[in-house]
Amino acid sequence: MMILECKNVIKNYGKNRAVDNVSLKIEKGEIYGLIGVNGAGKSTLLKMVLGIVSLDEGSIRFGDEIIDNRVRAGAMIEANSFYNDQDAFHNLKYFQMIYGEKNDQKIKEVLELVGLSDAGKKRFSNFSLGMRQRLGIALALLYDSSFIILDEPLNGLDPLGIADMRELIVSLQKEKDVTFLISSHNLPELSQVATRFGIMHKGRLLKEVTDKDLKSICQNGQMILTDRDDLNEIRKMAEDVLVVNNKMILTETCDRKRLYKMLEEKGIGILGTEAYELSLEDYFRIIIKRER
Amino acid sequence: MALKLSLAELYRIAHSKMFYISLSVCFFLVLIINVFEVDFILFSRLEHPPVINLNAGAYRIYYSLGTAVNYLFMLLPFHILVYCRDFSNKVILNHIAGGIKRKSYFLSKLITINLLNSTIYLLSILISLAVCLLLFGSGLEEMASVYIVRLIITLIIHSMLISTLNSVYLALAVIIQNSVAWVSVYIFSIIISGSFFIAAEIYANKGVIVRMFPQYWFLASVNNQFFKARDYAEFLVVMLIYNLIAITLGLVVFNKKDIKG
Repeated sequence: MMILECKNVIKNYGKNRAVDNVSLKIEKGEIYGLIGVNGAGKSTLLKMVLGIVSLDEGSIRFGDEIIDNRVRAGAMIEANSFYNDQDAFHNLKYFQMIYGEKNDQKIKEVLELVGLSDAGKKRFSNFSLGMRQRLGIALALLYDSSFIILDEPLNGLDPLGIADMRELIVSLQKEKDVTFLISSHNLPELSQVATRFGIMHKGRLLKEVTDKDLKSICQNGQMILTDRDDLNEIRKMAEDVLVVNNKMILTETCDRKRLYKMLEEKGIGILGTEAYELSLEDYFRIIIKRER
Repeated sequence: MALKLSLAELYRIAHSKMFYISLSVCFFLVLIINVFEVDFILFSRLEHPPVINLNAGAYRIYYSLGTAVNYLFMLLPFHILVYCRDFSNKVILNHIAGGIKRKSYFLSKLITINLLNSTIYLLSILISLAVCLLLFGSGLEEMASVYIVRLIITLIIHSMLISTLNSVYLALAVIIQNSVAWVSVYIFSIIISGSFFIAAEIYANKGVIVRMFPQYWFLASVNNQFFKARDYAEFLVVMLIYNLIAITLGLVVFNKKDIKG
């Protein structure tokens, strides 16, 4: 069942194209991880999905409804988006009241779930960045949404907080069938929770890959050891190879014949090859490098 | 949705320290201004038989309220409290991301700010009256009916004026989406408004609405005792038109504008 569909979405800021013809579909129960460098267009895309930023071209559909009639999606788009002079409870209470709900117990449960039950009367202005993030997540959970959008949810969280957040996302997906759209820079963490990845660069969606496919790609990676410490020339020429000191990391789709020829021409000797398991970060870097 | 959002706003404001601080400062200023003005009458008339009664007090209040500009300064914190901080704290992102329609957001803020500012304005008048009663200790029978009528008319005129300005400033806020810039515009507009309207009046022969607004603003702001009933009615109609224009403009622009964040 389709939860979200973006079709040929375009957004320009003046002459700069922030999102360039992006099309993606998210199915129910997925955890879709949107990755990309700063300025790749991830946040703009999420903001368009949430109606904060308008579309120049294309369409966005939630389920069977177009964005103008969109169903309420839980969202954490900016961690600092709360009233500074209110505590966690009253900030959530305010948003709950907007929808005509009166359920203090629910607020307490959500705060407990994100680990803010001890925040008490502490005002939002005195919250740490991690606490702010948690309150953002709490708001997303407050709506009982079946679709939650999180923009950089792990920013500012300590290792323990990151682990808690990861568990929370996975448990919500498994137990409540919640669908997630998450943008994050934290690739190692995202790779542990996402079921599908979208790689964005310069406003374009370069690649979509499922966690299973990614696993297979990463497991079939290869590392080539060379007799040169400086492989700068290869780094520049071979667009789908990662170079680390005297090593080259490549995926199974890499054109090996071309690479070997290139090494031969440059007089670079191969000391040996071995199987190498790529990380999401390695894969991401290769995809981005190809694009450059 | 707009009403629910307004209720939520009132709940939030009731739990805000800034609200009570602003309210206290506002009422304190009102009291100080009125007490000093009353003292001024008292002392200025010492050489002559003093007119120390509620009549004089009511007249002073009515007269001091003539300068609506003072009130705009006092109401500034409440504008900040109700909607300006939504942009500085980026809370508006949560509103829109939460599925609240921009129209509902705008209207709810308009309802809240009007409710809040009108209540504060009326309360400050009541406080002023109470101060006069305490100072002069006279019964209501001593208050000349003409001043009561003028006082009520002033209240109506000012309420309409405040409501129109609320719409104008809210429209500006959703267009600018920057609280610091908005506050600057607010203060600047208050400071220059007197001169602007006087200047506008000089060239005000081209259209009824253009002519009437500066004319009546100026008259209402400085001295409205020469108004006739027909003038009041015209003023209210013009204010209503300006109010509707500001609301429409705010809604149309806000609906099309990206939210900064």
